[in-house]
Amino acid sequence: MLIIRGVNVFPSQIEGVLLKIAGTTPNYQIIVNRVDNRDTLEVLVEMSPEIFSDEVRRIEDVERKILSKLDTVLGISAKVRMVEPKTIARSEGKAKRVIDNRKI
Amino acid sequence: MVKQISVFLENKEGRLAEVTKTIADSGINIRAMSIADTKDFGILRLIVDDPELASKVLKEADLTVIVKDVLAIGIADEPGSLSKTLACIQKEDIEIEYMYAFLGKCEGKALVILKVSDNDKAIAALDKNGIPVIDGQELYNL
Repeated sequence: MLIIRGVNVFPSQIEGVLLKIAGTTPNYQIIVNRVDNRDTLEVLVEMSPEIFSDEVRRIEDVERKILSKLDTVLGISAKVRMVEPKTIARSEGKAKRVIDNRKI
Repeated sequence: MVKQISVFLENKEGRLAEVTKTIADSGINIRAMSIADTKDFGILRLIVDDPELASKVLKEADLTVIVKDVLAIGIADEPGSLSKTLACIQKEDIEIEYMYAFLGKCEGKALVILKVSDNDKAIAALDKNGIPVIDGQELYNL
């Protein structure tokens, strides 16, 4: 569990949102930073054929859906960035799900 | 109709060069291309001489690829012919999602690739107005 801006965040909550929108669980990574004494939450999502489109607006629709659902489920705002497949680092075959860069 | 290959690319330096090298190394010739780009990502759209092979090698290179049918049309290479063509599509309430021009010509006509909301309806509209829709095979072999 992570505490971001005083709110409990479980990676499984984020996974649930992605599963619901993408149909399958894409590879994802949660990145937490502290900028100007404020926690930021960014979710990287590997692009999959299920959510890819030849039209920009459809991909942006998916991003918007993920954002608004994360906002509802977690109660805090996040950033979402789509990345190319196999770009999220894996250790022993499993992707490293959480990168917490905060120095407390 | 013509098979168009779309590839998801992150907006990173050198990405396009790497992807086009993958295509080049397989001896595939690019017939037309366009890129839609945003702050974070781009969509590379390609018309190639061998769509099946291109889709296979790009997938093997761990890229997200989709193949869609688009229309290729030949229009007179003179002022006003594109606007006339688009007007006849618009009259039928067909949406154009995007379009781009082709490199080179076919039988003296300028070539345009169109992605529309309804392919069959658009073909009928173009046909009615005497605008030739070019067959995929003919285009790959240009």
